[in-house]
Parts: sequence; C-alpha cells; structure tokens
Amino acid sequence: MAIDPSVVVNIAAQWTGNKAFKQADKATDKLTKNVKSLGRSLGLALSVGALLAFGKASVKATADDEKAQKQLALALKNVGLGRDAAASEAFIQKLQSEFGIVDDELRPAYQELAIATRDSAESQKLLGIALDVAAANSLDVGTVTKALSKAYLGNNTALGKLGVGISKADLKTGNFNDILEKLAKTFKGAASASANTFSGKMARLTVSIENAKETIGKGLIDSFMILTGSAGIEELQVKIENFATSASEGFKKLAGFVKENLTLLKSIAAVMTAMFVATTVIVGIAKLITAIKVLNDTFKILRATALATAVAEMFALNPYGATAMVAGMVALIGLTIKGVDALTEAYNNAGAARDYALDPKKYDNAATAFDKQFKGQQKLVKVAKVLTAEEIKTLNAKKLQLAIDKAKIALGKGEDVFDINKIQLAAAELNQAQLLGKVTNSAQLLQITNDLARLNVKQSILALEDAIAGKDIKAIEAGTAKLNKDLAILGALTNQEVKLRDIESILKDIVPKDLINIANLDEAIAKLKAIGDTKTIVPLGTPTPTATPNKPLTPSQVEDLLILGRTVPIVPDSSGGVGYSGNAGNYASIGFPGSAMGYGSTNTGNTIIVNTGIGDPNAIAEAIDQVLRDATDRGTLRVAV
Amino acid sequence: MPTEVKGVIELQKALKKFSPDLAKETRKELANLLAPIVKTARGFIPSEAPISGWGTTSPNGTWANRGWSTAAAKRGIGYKTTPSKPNKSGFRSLARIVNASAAGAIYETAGRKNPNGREQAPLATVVRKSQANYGKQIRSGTKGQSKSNNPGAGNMFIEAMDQYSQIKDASNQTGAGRRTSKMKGRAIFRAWAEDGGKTNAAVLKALENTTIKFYSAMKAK
Repeated sequence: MAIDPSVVVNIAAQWTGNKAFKQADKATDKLTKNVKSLGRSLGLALSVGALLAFGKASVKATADDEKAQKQLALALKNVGLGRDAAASEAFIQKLQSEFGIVDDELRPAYQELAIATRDSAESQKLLGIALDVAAANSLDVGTVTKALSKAYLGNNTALGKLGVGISKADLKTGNFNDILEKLAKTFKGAASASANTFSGKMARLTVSIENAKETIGKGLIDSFMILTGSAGIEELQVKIENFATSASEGFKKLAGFVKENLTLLKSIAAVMTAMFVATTVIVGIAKLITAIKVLNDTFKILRATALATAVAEMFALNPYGATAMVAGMVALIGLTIKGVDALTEAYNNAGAARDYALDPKKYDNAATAFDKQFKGQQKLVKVAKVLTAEEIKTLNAKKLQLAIDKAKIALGKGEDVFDINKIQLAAAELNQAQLLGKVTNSAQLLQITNDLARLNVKQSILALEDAIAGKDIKAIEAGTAKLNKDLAILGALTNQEVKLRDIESILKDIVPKDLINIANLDEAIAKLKAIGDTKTIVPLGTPTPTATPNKPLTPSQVEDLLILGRTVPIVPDSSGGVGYSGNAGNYASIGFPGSAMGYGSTNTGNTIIVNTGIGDPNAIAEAIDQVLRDATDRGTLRVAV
Repeated sequence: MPTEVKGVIELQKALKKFSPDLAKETRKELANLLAPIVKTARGFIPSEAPISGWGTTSPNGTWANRGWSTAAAKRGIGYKTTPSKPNKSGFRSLARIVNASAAGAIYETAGRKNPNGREQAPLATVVRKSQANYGKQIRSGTKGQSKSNNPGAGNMFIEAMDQYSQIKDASNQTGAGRRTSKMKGRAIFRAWAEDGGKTNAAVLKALENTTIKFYSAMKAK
C-alpha cells in the first residue's frame, strides 16, 4: 500500500545526501575513470604485454571508428546532408580534441540532431549547446542531445526532465528558440570550462590516446594489405578465403583416402604390400609422407604462434619485425598450400599403387603373401618356444640342485648336533613322553624337552634323506624347512634361557599325538572318579587330636575363618562322621604328613604325582605349574616358580 | 523542533550483520514505544462513516477505493521501524507512524489546508467543440477550487469529520524533518501532538542505548 508522505509522522531522520551531492559524486567518479583510463593507456605504452593488447585494440578501434563514420555519413546522406559529411566529421573531430569527448559519443549525438533538424549548421549549434548543458549538469551528451532533438520537434517533456532550470511554464508555452537561447545563455562556456579542468584535460588526453589507437590500427590494416599484395580489403578477404578453400579441399581428399581404407591397419597393410610389389610407388609414398610432414609442421607453427594475431600485435611494437612476420606468414601459407597440393598430387600420382593396393583381388594376393610371411614368423616363434622348453628343463635341474645343496647344508648342521647311533628313535620318544608325566621340576622338564627336540631333528634328517633319495623337490624343500625349524627349536633349548611357557609351546609341537589314547584317558577318568567318591577316601592316618572335634561350623564362622586365611580340611570325627576342624592351625600343629611336625614321619623327600593324564602338553605344563605354585604357597617348596 | 540523528542507518546495518539479536531487540523496543501512539491514533477513528454517504460508496468511480471502512482505517494506522527511502532533501526517517489507508488519510487531512473547505469554482462555458460539454456551463477551476455546485460541500464534509476528532497541529512537536503546515491531522498527528514529544525522546534514547550496547558488545568480542 503506497503511503502518502503527507500522512506520516517521521520520528527520527538521517540525512543521507541529496541529488546535488550525488551529481558531484558522479562527476568525481567520471574523473576517476578518466584518470584510470589514461593510466591504462599509458600503461600500455610501458609494458610489452600491454603493447600486444594495444595492437589488437588498435585494430578493433579502427574498425569501430570506421563503422561509426560510415554510419554517420549514411545517416547524413539519408537526410539530404550527404555533402556535409566531411565537414560534419571535421566538426566532430574538432569538438573531440577541444572538449575531450570521444567521437564515439559525439557521432551518435550529432546524428540524432541532424536527423531532427536536417540542417548541418543547426545541428552543430545544438551540439555545441548540448555539450555546455551536459558539462554544466554532469549529464551524458547523448541524453541532452536526445532531449534537445525532441524539443526541436516540439516535445519538451524530456528537456524538462533534464532539470536544467527551464520552468514548466516556459516549457509549456515558450517556443524552442526561446528555450534554446535561455539554455545557451545559462550554460555558455561550461564545456570549455569543463575541458580546462583537470578532469577535462584527462579526458582530452584519453581522447588523444583513443585517436592514436585508431590511427595505428588503420596503419596495421593498410600495411597488411600492402604486404599481401592486396589492393583492398576485399582482395585480402578473397585471398584468405581461397587459401581456406584450397586447404579444405586438400583435407577432404586426405580424409577420403583414409575413409576408403576403412582402418588404419588396412591402409598400412595396403601401403606395405604396394611397397613390396610396385617399386615405382615408393616415390609416390615418399611424396605423400613429405607432403603430410610439411602440412603438419606448417600447422604446428600456425597454431603455436597464432600468426594472424601476432602480426597485428607486432605492428604496434615494431613495424620492421611485423614485416618480417608477415613475410614469414605468407611463406607459411605458401608452404601449407604447397603441402596440400603435394598431398593431392601424391594421392593422384599414387594412382597405380593405390589402385593396386585397394583392388580386392590384388589385395588378397598381397594379403596371401603377407600371410606367408606371417606364417614364417610363426615358425620362428615355435622354434623359440622349443628353445624355451629346454631352458625350463635346465632351470628345473638347477632348482633341484639348489634344493639338494640347501638340504645338505641342513643335514650337516643336523649331524653336528646329533649322534644317530645311540638313540632308538621311537623308544626314546615314548620314554620321554612317559617321563614327561613324571616330571617334578623345571630342570627335568627342560631336559625331557631337549631330548624330544633332538629326536625330532633326527626324524627330520631321515625324512630329508629319503626325499633326496627319491629326488622329490617338494619333499626335499619341505623336509629342509622342517629340519631347519627343528634345529632352531633345539638351538633355543640348548641356550638354556628358555622359559616354561616357551617349552610348553615347543612341546605342543613335538609330543607324539599317538600317545593320547583311550586307555590312558580311561585310566585318568577312573582315578578322578576315585578322588571324587568320598566313601573311598582313606584316612591319612589316625591322628591324636588334642581336642575333640567341634560341632559343624556355621556359615558365618566358615566365612570368618576363610577371611583369616585358614584352611578347613575335612576331618572324620570319632564316630566316623565327617566334621570340620574348628581351627586348622591347631590341626596343622599336630602335623600334616611329611611336614616338620608330621605325625609319625620325618621323611622330607617328597614325590608329587600329578594325575592329569597324558596328552595335551599345555594342560600338563599348567598342571605342573599349579602343583609347584601350591607347594610354594604351602611352604613345602622353596624353589621359585 | 526537528530532530536529526547521524549514523543510525549504519548502526542498523551493523546490527543486522554483527548482532542480529540486538537488532531484533532494538526493533522490539521501538515497537513497544510506538505502539501506544498507534493505539491512541486508532482511537480517534470513528466507528462509523463520518458522513452517511461515504459508507455506501459504489465500487466504481473516483471514490471506489476511498470508501469508508472503520476497520481498514484503523488497520492502516501503524508504525515502521525500518529506514524509509530518502526524500528529495536527502533525509531518511528511521521510525515513523503512518496512516496508510485512503479513507484514513482523507479523515486525517480533510480541512488541513482549507479549514472551511475549498472555494467554489466559477461556472465557465465549454467553448471547444470536441468537448462533450460543448456549449454548457461547468465548474472546471483549478485544483484548489471545489467543483461542487454546493458551495458549502467542503465545509460540511470537514465539519462532519470534526465531530469525531479535531485537527491538531503537531508541527510544534519534536520530530524529524522540516516543520510544515502538513504536520496536522485528526488521528496520527493528533496522537503525536498529544504525546508531547515523550515518545520521540524515548525513541532517540533507545537508539542511543542500542549504539552503546553494540559498541560494548563489539569490544567484548
């Protein structure tokens, strides 16, 4: 909803600048742009890269300027002012240099006024006033001239909107001449004054640079035409188009040639065949190759230098250099044309060979010949394959020898550490396994393990000898590996730095698996059952208790005793029932069998039988370990475990 | 007395960018300050059409969009806390109370320029043949003249408005912009005049406080 500003209460306001200040800003911006523009133009003169761009811009500026000139001349001619075209152009140039406004702005303005007034003198007068009005009000020349031309034709609205101090009444009632007179009087000399300001001077310098660009650009085009021997731009265009056409034809022919051959392989095969069959074709092919090479090289150079652009740029830098470049370009164009022509000629001259190559019958013959040659090559390949088989055989023999050598080395090691004549392997292994079940300390365990390892080494040696005798490479390699492994185990054991855990893992590998049998297991289970059956428990003896066994303990009493760390053995009471010792310490004071205070015995030599069965070495080792630890905890063993 | 502030637009931009919460808070504070004025102004709007015919306006013709509607007139009175577009002198108001509806604006301003109505335009004969009323006598006149054949039409209309609310001059109150005769009216200007500048001072104080808060917040960051 639009709000009428007259029904608004403004509470707080901020001044943000009015139109006059904006115009001032605009003027300042214009000055800045002019300075920047001049800076850019001067920069062009100082940097090589910019100079190249300047050359291009010059050619473009010339083209644009020429176009604008022609447009103005045409417009003047259309309104019957054709004969004043030169004078008008001169007037525009004069204004341009005098007021620092580029002709690109002046020409359309002048054209608009000329169309409206159809009078050169009037147009020039109006343009002069328009420049003053524009300079005084920081307006665009085009906008002012448009308003003036409309006003000249009776429409003063646009002039009123310019805000140049003409009252509505004057605009409504006054005639154009009065308005114009008023404008001329009001803004007289504004354009000159503006041109003499710093900004104006900058603008004039910029105009000079722009003019220089156009002049240089014109020179470039003219020079190019002279160097290419063209009388005019049209002729130059024709030459370029002719070049393009001839090049295009050449490519078409080349493409046609390739297409007819369908595939690169076929083309090469055809050419190769032709080379074998028709010696005269070689010359044609050589020409063809040369032509392609020339063409290729030429285009490479053209692509690399972007020559047409480079020449234009060179003119801005160094006309002499540019001349050389143009000469080079012409030469290259010549070479290209020559290349295309040579290609075409080679293609045409290769007629017989080409036809021969492309003739299906002849091609088939050639292909047959080629096949023959190919088959010969296949034979060679087969011979090569036979030789390779021999080599493989030799290689296998070498491999075998190498394996045997390695095995011998391993055997040598084995002989060093083992005396074969003293041990009956199977019996020894069995014996060692049985001993394992009776081991009481780590020293015994280590000794047994050592023996087992030795037995293993001997077994590996025998297996390896068998493999060597059978000349089985895989078996030899496997046997060697096993022997080396066994030797490594033995080496580890003989260092005597082996921990029980390590021995356990070794045992796991070396204990014969056939020792785990059902009979042993049944025996172990029977023993376990006997232990678990309380009725079969035989009293350790008949102790002489110092006190009558107490009544069964309450759970809390048991707990208290457990906290105190006392064991609570099961003791049969006098009546034959099973009760609990009220104080294990008291019971212990009577003596455990075998202890220093043992009842009825002072024997200190102990034999601990661990009923774990035979089989899993890990379980055996753990059981042994546990027994030793328990003994240590009880104080009956002082060897650190 | 005109009040001009500096930097509030920039402050509002900065608030929006760096402290949106404070910006929101400021807007809310200004709204709270302006809402009572709006409420008072709406209270000056009559609950029925000031003159009977105004309430039954046909949908066509000059008065089609100017027909009386109490609801629309009340709804049209409001406030804005966003900066306005600059006027021709380059000022932008930072907060304002508006009377946006057509009927409300008429009610607000009728009789502001001519308290007794415009003078009646004299009768003139149409002499251009192309005119429809060629040869007849009509009252064309200027913008400042009434075309009604009733010489007291304007006066009657204004008196009808005055029955509900009298025009009050707010140009002697503090506020933004140049003091003009246009700062008179029956609703918003009356409310503003009766406020006596308290809201204006509160708004400026609020803006000042916001500035202080903003700088403090920025320093803290």
